[in-house]
Amino acid sequence: MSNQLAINNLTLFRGAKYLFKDISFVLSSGDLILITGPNGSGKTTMLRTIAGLLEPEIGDISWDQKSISNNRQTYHKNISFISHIHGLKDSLSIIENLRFEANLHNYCLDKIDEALDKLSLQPIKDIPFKHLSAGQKRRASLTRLILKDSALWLLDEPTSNLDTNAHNIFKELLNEHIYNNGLCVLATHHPDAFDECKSIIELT
Amino acid sequence: MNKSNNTSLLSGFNAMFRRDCLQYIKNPSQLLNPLIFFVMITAAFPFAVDSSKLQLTQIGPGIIWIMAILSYLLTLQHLYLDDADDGCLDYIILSPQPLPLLVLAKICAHWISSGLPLIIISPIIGIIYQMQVDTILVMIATLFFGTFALSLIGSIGASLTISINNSNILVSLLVLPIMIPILIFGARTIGLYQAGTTTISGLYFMSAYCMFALSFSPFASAAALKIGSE
Amino acid sequence: MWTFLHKMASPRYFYSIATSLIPWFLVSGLILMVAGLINGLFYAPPDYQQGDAFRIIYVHVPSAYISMMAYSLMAFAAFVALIWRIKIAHAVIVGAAPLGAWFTFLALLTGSIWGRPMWGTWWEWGDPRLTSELLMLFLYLGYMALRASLPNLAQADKLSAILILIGAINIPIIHFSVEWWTSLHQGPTLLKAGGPAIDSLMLYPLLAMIIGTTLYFGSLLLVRTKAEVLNREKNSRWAKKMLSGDQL
Repeated sequence: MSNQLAINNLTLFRGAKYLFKDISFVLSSGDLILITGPNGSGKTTMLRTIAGLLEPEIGDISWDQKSISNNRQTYHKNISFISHIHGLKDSLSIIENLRFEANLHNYCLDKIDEALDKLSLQPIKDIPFKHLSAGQKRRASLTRLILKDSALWLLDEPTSNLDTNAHNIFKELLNEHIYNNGLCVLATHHPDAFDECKSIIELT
Repeated sequence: MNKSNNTSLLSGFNAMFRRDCLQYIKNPSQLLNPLIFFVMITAAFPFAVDSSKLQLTQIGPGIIWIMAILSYLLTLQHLYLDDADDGCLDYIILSPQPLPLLVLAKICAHWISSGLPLIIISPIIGIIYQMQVDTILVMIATLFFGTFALSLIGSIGASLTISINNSNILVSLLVLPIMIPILIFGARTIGLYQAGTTTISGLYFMSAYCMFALSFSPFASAAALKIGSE
Repeated sequence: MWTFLHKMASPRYFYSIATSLIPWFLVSGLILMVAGLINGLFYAPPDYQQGDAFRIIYVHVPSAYISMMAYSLMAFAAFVALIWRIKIAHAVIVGAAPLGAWFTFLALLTGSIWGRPMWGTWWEWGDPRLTSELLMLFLYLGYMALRASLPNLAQADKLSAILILIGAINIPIIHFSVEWWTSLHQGPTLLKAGGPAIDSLMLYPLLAMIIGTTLYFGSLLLVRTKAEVLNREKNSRWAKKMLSGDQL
C-alpha cells in the first residue's frame, strides 16, 4: 500500500517573527526525513503542525492527496505521534497507562505484552510511572509504535535518554517500519545516527 | 492489529472514565482536600454566628451551597491542566474517539470525585444546621443536579485556561456568572421548601439547567482544549 | 450589500471607511443626545407617580440598552470570527468590550440611584433583572481578564470568542427576566404589544437619547476598533505608510 505526505509552503509565526517559513517536501512510502536544529528552533512545533495539533497560518498538508483539515479522522488513524514529553500518567503504572491507550484506540490487548517484551519493560510494568528512570519512561512511550500499526510516524527526539541497547532496538523498529513501506518524520539533535534518510530539514 | 475498525464510543468513554477514576483513587488528596475544606468551614460557621435554631435553618442552605461551589472551584483548575502538562492531552486529541465524548467522560469522573462525596457528606452538615430529614432530602436533590451542572460549566472555564499558569482565580471569574443561577436556585429551593412552598419548580429548573449545560459544555470544552493546546 | 461587508473584512478598507464614518456618527450622536437630554430634563412633563425623579430614565434606559446591544454585537462578531474566520471581527470584540462594560456599570449605577427613591433600596439581591445585569458585567470583566492572561494573540482571540458565545445566553435572560419572574423592575414599556406605554412627550426625548447614545457608542467603537486593527496590522505595508505620516 502506497501513501504520500505532502507539505506545501508551511509557515508558522511566533509573535511577530517567523518560526519557520515556506517548508515544502513530499514523503512517499519508505521515506525517512529528519528535522534538525538547535533547541527552540521549532522542531516540536513543526511536528505538531504536521500531526494536525496546530493549524499553520500559511501552508497546506495533504495525506494521500487529500488535505488533512477536511480529513482529520482518517489522517489521525494513520499516524503515530511520539512527543518529547511522554504523555503517560505519573501515578499509574506502565501497564495501566497502556491498557488505557489500548481501550481508547481499540488495540488488541496481547499487543501490549509484545510491546513490553520487545522494549524490555516486563519487569517494571507494575511500577508507578513517576518512579521510573528517564530511559525507561522513554521506552514506555515508544511502545506506542508497536501497539499501533500506522503508516506515518511522527517522532520528536525518540532516542533521547536511551542507552545503546535501547537505541539499537529503536533503530531496528524504525528500519522495519521503513522497509515495510512506512513513512517517518523524525526530529532529532543527532542526524548522523540516521544515515538512510531521504533528506534533512535544518531549522534555525 | 486492531480488534476491529469500528471503535465503539462506549469503550472510549469507559477507557477515559476509568483512567480518571483510577487517578483520583491513586491521588486521594485531590479528592479529600476540597471535602475537608467544605466540612471544616461549614462546621465552623455556627461558632461564628448566632447559632439559634431559627438563624441556622435560615442561613444553612445558603452557606452549604456557597461552600459547595467554593470547594468545587478548588478542583476545577486541575481538570485539564494535569493532562496538558504531562503531554497526555495531545494523545487524547489525536485519538480516534470524538473529543467531546472523552471530555464528557472526564467531567463525569470529576463529578464522581468531587460532587458525589459532597452529596454524601451533606446530610451531616444538614444536621449541624438543624435541618429536618425532608429538607435534607431536598438539599441532596439540589446538590445532585447542581454539582453535575457545576462540573459541566466549570469544565468550560478549565478548558479555556489550560495555557495559563495559576489560573485558579481566572477560572472562578470566568464561570462565576454562569454558576450564580445554580447557586440562587439551589439555595432558594431549599429555603422555599423550609418555608412551606412547593419546590418542584426549582428542581425542574435545576435539572433543565443541567441538561442545557450537558448539550453544549462538552463541545465548547473540546473546542477550547484544541485551541489551547496549539 | 454583501460586497460591502466582504470588503469590510479587509483591515485596510475597514480602516478608511471607519475614519470617514466616525465624524458623522459622533456629531449626529451628540446632537441627538443633547436634544434628548434638554427635552427630557426640562420640557417633558413630570410623571404622575414619580414626579421629577423619573427623569433619570433618559440616562438609565440608553445605558442599559447599549450594555445589552454591545454584548449582542460582540456575540455576533464572535460567531462571525469563529465560523467564518473573519479576523477583523476579533478586533471589533476587543474594541467593544470596555465600552460595553462601562455602559453596564452606568446602567447599574443609574438604576441603583433611581431605585433608592422608587423602591426604597439601592439594591435588591433577589431581583432577576438586577442580578442578570450584574452577571453581564462579570462576563465583560471575565472576557477582558481572559484576554489579558493569554499572551498568544490567535489563542486569545479564539478562546475569548468562545467565552463570549457561552455568555450570550444571558441576553435573553436579562430581557425576559421581568416577564418570567416577579421583579421590582417594571415590565417592558417600549417593546410591548399595543404600542409603548409611555406618553409621547416623554417618549420622543427617550428615543432621541437611545438613538443618540447608540450613534455615540458607534463612533467610540469605530475609534477603538481602528486602533486595534492598526495594532494588529502594524507590520503591513499600508499600516507602516500610515504611521509614518502619509494619509490613507
